[in-house]
Amino acid sequence: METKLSSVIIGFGIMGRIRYHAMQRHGGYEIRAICDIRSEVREQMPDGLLVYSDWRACIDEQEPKVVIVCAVNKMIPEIVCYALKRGCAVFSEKPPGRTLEDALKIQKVYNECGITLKFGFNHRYHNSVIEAKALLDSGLLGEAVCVRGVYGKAGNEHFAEEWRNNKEISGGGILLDQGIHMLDLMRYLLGSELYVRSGIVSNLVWKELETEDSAIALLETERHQIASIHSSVLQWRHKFDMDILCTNGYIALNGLLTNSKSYGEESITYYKKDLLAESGKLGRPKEHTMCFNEDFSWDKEMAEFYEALVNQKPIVHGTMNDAVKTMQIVTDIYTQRASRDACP
Amino acid sequence: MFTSFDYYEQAEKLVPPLKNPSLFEQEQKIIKNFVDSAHTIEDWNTGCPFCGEQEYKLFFTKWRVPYYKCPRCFSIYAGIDSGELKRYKKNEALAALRLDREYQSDTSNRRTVLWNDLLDWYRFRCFRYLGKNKNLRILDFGTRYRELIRLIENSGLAHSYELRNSILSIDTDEKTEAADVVLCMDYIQQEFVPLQFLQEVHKSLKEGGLLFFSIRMGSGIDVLALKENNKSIFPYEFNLLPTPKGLRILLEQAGFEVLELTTPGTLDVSYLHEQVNSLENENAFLYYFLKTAGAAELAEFQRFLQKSGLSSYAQLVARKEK
Repeated sequence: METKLSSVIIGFGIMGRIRYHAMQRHGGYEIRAICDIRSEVREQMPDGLLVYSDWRACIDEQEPKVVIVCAVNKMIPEIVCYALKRGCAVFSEKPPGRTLEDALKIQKVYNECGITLKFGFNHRYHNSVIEAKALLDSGLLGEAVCVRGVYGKAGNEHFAEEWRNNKEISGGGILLDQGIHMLDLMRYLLGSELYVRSGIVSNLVWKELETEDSAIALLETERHQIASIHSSVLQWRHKFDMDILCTNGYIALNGLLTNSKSYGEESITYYKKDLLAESGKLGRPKEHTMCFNEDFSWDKEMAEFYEALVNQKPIVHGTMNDAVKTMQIVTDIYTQRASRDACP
Repeated sequence: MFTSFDYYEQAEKLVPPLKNPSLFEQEQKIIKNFVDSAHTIEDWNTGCPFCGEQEYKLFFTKWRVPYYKCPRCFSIYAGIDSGELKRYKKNEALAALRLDREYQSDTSNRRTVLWNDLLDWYRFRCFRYLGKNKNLRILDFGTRYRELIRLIENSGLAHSYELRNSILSIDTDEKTEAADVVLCMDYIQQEFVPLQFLQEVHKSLKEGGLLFFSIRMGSGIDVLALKENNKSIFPYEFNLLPTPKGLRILLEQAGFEVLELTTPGTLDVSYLHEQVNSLENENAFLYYFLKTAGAAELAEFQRFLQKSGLSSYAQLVARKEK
């Protein structure tokens, strides 16, 4: 790469490491320093990097072109706004803070600064999603009218102690952590904004958590497309399924190729409506399935960010608008809980 | 890259086989007569048509024609004479049969559903890689079915459609505009020097243009298991039977990037079943399986072959590299 972008990474947990490796593979980023508040993490940094425990000092002293924010939700708005105000382009993990107010605060600074900002909604770059979007846009199956999504997590022995379930740090539970990806995909694939019609957020099993273990919501677009989501830690295994019903056919996304390799084989299955049973039995039309064995989502995400900075290409995925709109939906679903809790 | 498979259940009404048995018999008879009259070559000295490897091993012989296997890319190819191949392509009896109204109409009755599926595949993959599936300039090598040509022309895919090297085309030397898409379905297996042909195709395409092609594969289960007993493989009609490795080498040499290579074939198990007795001593496992498996197991096995890239019918999309 001719142009190397001086960069720092704030937060070096799982996501920070994933971003670090994707940036290394890309070759267009010169990673100068990494910051993490945990001493045990700072002791295990890759060689040749400056290490900070104070993110402000990291940004001020390094004066990087790019700041990669992989901190916990509570810290995201402050770090993102600080970096933007200092003229750094920012790539931040989702969610854009703990609340819609956090996201709007970032948006205000972003609008004032006019500097490139991208959020990590990497699911859009998964092969099955790319194929689904192409299939929908190709017109082969007509218009998407309904989408159903299930995103389930297994939980684990120490799940209750994870920072994600500390409301003060995370702002929400499984819906904000994982369901937000599914909501972003629904907006993207339906091509319309979603509005919450009803939602239930609950602690069905993990009663001791401050955050929800289950969220179910019904949503609708202005074009009357319908969406339903079930985001849960009660699946007791990892699961990702999305059905898209179209006027002339159907698409199913099953499984997701992730770093943990625990969401099953990633595939897309589709078929065309066949009321005359020409392709198979009535009620069982011929299905086409594509299965993927490689995940380039992290690489594609960092490549899009680089292209925006170096070649002035637009940010298409994970825009400020995507982040705010998706946070709006999450907030509206949580508000439904609040109104429900108010009712005896 | 991805793997793929199709799931389908046949309707209770009988779906006709892809080929009319009587017409297929007539076709084979003409081809067999030609092969009997063609002179055979003494020694193969042109190397593997896919990877260029000079070493080869005799894999089987069909109608006196040797089929060799490349020890490097495992592709299979017939040891035929290039002059005889040119003569074969001009075989008037075969062209007359294939142009006959009954042959054309019978084939379209059997294949229209498949052809519509093929058009959907073009629509989807053109949009996926070109960002559009309308108003394309399409160059088609070798299609020999009038109804399929009509379907392509009326599909909305094509702004212009040109057919070359077909019994239905009138070939001219006129230079035409570069194509967005080249179709090469079940055609390349009859080329003597496929690299040269693909280099010509490369010149005919716009930068970033797509090549769609299909071919029978030498890595397919029925080809490998049945060898000379495979009724659907015979010399001069099926001379090149590549493996995925061989195809990749060939296409990359010709300046293409392989975007996807899948084996969506549905007939492997049927071909094996038809010739199951020839497997009794050759492959005891397949013989046992085919003799004892029910319809559901056979269908599942066919899907396994598709998904594992082991069906003998492959479809490929490649892009002209910049």
